[in-house]
Amino acid sequence: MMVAALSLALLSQIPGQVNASSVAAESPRTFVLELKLGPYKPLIDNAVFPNLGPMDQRPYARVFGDTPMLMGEVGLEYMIWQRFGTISAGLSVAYAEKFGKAVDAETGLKAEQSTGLRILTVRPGASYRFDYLALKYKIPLVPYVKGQFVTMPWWVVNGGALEYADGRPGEGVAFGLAGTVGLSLMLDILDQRLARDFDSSVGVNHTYLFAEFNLQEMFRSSAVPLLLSSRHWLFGIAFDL
Amino acid sequence: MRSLVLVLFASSASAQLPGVGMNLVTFGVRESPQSTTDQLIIGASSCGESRILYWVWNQLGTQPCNNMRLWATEGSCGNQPGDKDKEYDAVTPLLVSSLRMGTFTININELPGFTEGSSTPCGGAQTLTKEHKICAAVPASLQCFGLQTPQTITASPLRIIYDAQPPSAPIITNVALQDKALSLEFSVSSDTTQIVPFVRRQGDADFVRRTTVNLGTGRSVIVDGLLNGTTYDVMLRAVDSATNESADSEIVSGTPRRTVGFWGAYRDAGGTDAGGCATAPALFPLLALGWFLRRRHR
Repeated sequence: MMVAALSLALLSQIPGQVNASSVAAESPRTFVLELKLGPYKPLIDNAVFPNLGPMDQRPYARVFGDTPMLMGEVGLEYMIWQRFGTISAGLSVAYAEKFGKAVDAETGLKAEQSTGLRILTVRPGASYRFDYLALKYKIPLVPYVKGQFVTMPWWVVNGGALEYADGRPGEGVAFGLAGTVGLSLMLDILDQRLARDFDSSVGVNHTYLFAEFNLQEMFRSSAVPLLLSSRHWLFGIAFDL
Repeated sequence: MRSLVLVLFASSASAQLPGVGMNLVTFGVRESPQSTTDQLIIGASSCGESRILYWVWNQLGTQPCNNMRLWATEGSCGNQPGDKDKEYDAVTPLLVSSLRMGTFTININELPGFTEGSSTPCGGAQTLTKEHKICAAVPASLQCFGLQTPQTITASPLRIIYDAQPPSAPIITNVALQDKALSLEFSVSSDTTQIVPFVRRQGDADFVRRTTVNLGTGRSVIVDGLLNGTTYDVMLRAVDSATNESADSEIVSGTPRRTVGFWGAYRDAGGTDAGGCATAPALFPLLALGWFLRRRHR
């Protein structure tokens, strides 16, 4: 009897058996939440403007200079399929704005009045994340691709009000398609225990830092459209929920 | 994280309960029952006015044993009105304990500091600032008809601060010429809470008073609705919290000029995007793609 009790006590000290019973199972993954920030410069000045010579400054550069807009984006995707990687579908919403000085119509000099371009971007779409190796073999890199339909309401203000030119309002909606290639770094490797606690307490399965390249091609609405197409990088943090 | 959520929920819930998140008075005189300040600032324009004030009784477990007295004084409240104080109608203990809140009316120019030795309202132009207190007191006890002698409880008074001192005139530091507008930068004294722009076409006799603008942290105001190419005279007045208006600022002039913003620059360059609903044709490629895919699936 004593031997049996001692054997049981010894068995309970074997690490593998203790861990197997005490480690809680990962909660189901359902959503991906992304928060992103990055420079966004629309290709407005790439259009061929009939009233400008080759040396003339293009409209974006003339008003805003050569610097890009700052774009912030929030995305939420629902995981549809999780086997050899993850397929998700969702929606992201971004906002970007840029302000510069308006120009005096007579002198052509900078006036003491601000003018700004504001762009809202709504992108429904689908993504594929190759997270099989990260989840199964703890290799922390997750490449991914996305395809999205892009809707971009935009508007231009001059002196705080919507700007009109030639009787036309400076506002509209542009449509297009976007493709994204990105690479995520799974942060769980830094502290796996903390990652498990984050899952059990808040429901965040995995946390990632990522960088992605976006190629956005907008449909042309006229001969010399306000071209909001772009090739831009975004950086951010993502959570598997 | 769960505990964080609970704390956030508890703090937001407590903010909704009267008397928990807000600093409401248990026994006092206030401008309104929900008021969290004991101050009422009035200016010279309020002199002939009357004001409705509230008494509030939320002394749980204590009963008023006699009439609640209400009075205005220049000094400190004490337990009862002094000889020179202005007393208002008393409130019976039954009303105090049953209603717990009631109103009474005061006439500003009958406040004791304004009637003494002066026949002009609020002491005339000589009186620039004066403070009164509206007080209340009631004898109260846990049991009014027991052995315990009622103690007089004094209310938290309402301070009526009369301020007839106007703020300094604004100083206009810059006039920016904008499209159909002039933008004025200015400096004002620290007691200024609002600014009033005045504008006239140069050569006209009278200024037109524009809408009063609340002063935040910014020190600029835009006078819009003007004609490009026409010269206008503009001036400002500062207003303080007692609605006293300053003297006029110096008159400055400016001619609004047509400016071209980004949209104008794009159109001037030959951009053909028409704006508005004219961008809808951009959806056609997508509709065509949808139509094509649908045909393939058949």
